[in-house]
Amino acid sequence: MTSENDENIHHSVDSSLDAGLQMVDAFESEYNRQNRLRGIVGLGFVAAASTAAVVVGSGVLDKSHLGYDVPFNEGVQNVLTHIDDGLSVAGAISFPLALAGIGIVKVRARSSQPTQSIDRRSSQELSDDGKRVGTIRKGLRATVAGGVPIIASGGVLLGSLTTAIGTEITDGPTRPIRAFGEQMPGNIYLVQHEGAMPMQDSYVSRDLIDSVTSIAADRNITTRSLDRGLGDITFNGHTRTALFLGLQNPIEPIKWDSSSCQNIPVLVDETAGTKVGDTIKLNDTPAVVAGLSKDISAINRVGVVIDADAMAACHKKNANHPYHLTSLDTDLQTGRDILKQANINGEIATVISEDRYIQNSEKFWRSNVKPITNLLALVSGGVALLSMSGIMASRLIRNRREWAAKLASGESDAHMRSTEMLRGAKDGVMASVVGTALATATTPLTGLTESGMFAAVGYKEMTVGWAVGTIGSVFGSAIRVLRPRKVIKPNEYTR
Amino acid sequence: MKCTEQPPKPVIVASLRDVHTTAAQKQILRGVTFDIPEGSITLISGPNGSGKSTALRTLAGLSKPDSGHAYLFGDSVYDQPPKKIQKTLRNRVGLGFQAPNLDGGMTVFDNLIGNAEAFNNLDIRRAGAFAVLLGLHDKMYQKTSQLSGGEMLRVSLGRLLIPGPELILLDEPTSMVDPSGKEAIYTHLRNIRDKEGTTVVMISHDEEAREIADQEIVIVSGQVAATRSFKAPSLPGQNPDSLASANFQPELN
Repeated sequence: MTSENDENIHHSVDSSLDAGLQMVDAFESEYNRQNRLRGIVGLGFVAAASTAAVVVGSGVLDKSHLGYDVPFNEGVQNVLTHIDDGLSVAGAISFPLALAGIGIVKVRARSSQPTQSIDRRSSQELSDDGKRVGTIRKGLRATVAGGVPIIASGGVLLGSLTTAIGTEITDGPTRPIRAFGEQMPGNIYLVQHEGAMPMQDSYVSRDLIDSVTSIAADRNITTRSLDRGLGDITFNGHTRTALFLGLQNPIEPIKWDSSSCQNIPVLVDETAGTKVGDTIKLNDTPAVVAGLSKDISAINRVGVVIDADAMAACHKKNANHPYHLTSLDTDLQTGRDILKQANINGEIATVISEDRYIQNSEKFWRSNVKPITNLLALVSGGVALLSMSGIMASRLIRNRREWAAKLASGESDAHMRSTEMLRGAKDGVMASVVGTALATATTPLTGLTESGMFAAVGYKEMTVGWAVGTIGSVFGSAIRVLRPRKVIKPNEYTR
Repeated sequence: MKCTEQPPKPVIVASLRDVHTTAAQKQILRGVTFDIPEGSITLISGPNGSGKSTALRTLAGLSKPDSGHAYLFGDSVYDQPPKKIQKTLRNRVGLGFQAPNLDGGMTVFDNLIGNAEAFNNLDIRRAGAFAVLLGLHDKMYQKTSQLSGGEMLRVSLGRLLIPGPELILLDEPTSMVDPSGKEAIYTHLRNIRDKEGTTVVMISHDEEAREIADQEIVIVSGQVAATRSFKAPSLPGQNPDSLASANFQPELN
C-alpha cells in the first residue's frame, strides 16, 4: 500500500515537472519567435531606409509631384463656391443655439438636480488635469467650460482666416472699381462686352466715345472715360506690380500737360509708402507722386491714377489707344439708346450697369479663389471636428474609471451623453469666441505678405468660425458618446 | 382562542441563486447561493481569487452569470431591461469599489454631492451632515486628488451614502487605509445601519469587519464554503422564508 502511494506521489511529481518544463519550453519558444520577428521587421526598416536614401540622393523626386489627375467638376466647384454662405448661416444659427442651450441648462439647473449635475460635471475635468486652478479658470468653470480647447480654437481661427482671405481675394479687386467709380459720373458703363471687368480686356474706340460723348452732351448727360492697364511701379529700388487707372480729363494735380513722358504727375495709393514729391517709375517711365490716394490698390497691385492721355501716349505708345470704359450719368436704357444712336459703324460695344461690372469681377475671382479658400475653411471645420472628437475620445479614456463608477452606480447613458454633449457645446462656444478673437487680431497681418491686401474678419468670417467651432465640437463630441458603454465598461474599469 | 405571535419575517433585499460564472475559461463561481436580509451587515470573506468580488458584482448587475439568478429587492437583476436595474441601482443601492473612483479634478464638495445630484435626490443638509460626520468639512474645496487615501475613501463613502441607499455593496472598502482609518469606516457603517436601517454587504479581510457583521459568507474556490452568524436577527439559514435557505450550508469547514 505504501509503495503504491509512493509510486503515485512520484508519478504526480513527475507529471508536475513535465508540465512545468513544457511551460518553460513554450515560454522560450514564444520569446524566440518574437525575437525572430523583431529581427525581420528591423531588416525591413533598414531596407526601407536605404531605399529612401537612394531615392532622395538620386534627385528623382526633386521635380516630381506624386499626384494624380482629377477631371474638373463644375458641380463640385459650385458647391464649394457657395459653401461659405452655408457655413455662415449654419454658424449664425449654431452659435446662438449653443449659447442658448448652455443658458437654458444653467437656468433649468436651478430647479433640477440632474441638470445641475450635468452642468457641474461638464464645466470641469473629472480626473485631475494637474493644473492649479487660477481665477480665470474658476471663472471659466462657473460660466462656460473648464479650459480653452486649443486645437478647436485653432480650427476656428483657420476657418475665419481662410474665409477672410477668400473674401478679400474675391472682393479686393472691386475696391479700385468702387474707388474710381466715385470719380466717374453716373453708374452705367459703356464697355466692349457684357463680361467686362478689370481683369478682362475691354476696348472702346475713341471715335465711338467721342460720338457717345457728343450725343450725351446734347442731352445734358455728363460722361467720363477710363483706361486701365497693368504694369510695374518702381520706387526706392523696389519694383512692384501696379494697376494703372487712366482717367480722362483729370483735374490737378495729375493733369498732364502733354509736353513729355518725363515726370508724369500721378496719384499713388498710400499703401505703396510713397510721399508727395517722390520720383517713381511706371513701366520704366519717370513719374512724380503728385498726391496720395486711398483704396485703389488691389491685391498685389499698387493703384496708380494717371491722366488717360499720358497713359496712352507714354505707356501704350498710341495716342488713340481705346478706352476701357466710359461712364455715363444716366439710366441704362438711355445709355443704350445713346450707344445705338452713336454706333454708326457697328462697333462691338454695350452698356452695362456698374453693379454688373462689379459682379463680373466678383464672379471671376469667386470661381478662381472661393472653391480653394472654402475648401480650406471646410478642412478647418473637419480639423475642429476631428480634434474635438479626438479630445473627447482621450477624455473618455482618461475618465473611464470615473465614468465607469457612475454608470455602475446606475447613472444612465443619457445622463452621461448629455454631460459630454454639453461639454462639447461649451468647448465649441469657447473655441468660437477665442478662435474668432484670434482671427480678428491676426487676419489683418496677412497684409504684411501682399501689398494691397486688406483681409479682415467681418460678419461672414465670424459666423463661418462659429460654425466650425460649435458644429465641429458638438458633433465631434457626439460621435464619441453615442454609445458610451462601448468605451466605458463599468465591470472592467471599476476593478 | 390563543394567539401565538410570530416574530416578523426578515425581508431579503438581495440574493444570489445557484450562480455559475466563467471568465477567461476559468470557473469563477460554482453555484453560489446566499441571501442578504434587510438591515443586516454581511461580510463576504475568503481567500484572494475565490470569487468574492464576482459575487458582489453579480449582485450589482456588473457581471452577468452564465447561469443562476441575482435578485435585488425581489427583481431579477439580469432578466429585466437594463434601464430598470439602473433605476434600482440609482435609487436604492450604493456601490463602492476598492479604488475610490473619485473625480480627481473636482472638489470634495462636488464629489460628495455628485451621485445624489445626478440621481435627483440630493438633500444638501444631509450632504453637509455627512461631510461633518466624515470629517471632511474643512476640505470641501480641495481637489480630491490632493487627499490622502483615507480621506479619499471617506469621500467615496460619503458620496454613496448621501443619496440614502437602502443597500450598500462595498468591495474591500478599507484596502487603502491604516488601522485607525479602518476602525472609523466600520464605525460609520455600523452607525448608518443602526440609524437608517441600511443593509450593508462588504468584502473584507479585516477582523474589525467581522466585529460589526451580523453574518459572514465565506467563499472558497467559487463556492459558499460556510456561513457564520454573529447575531441572530435574520440569518438566511435560520429563516424558513429565506429564498436561499434550502441551499445554504451553515456548517463551518
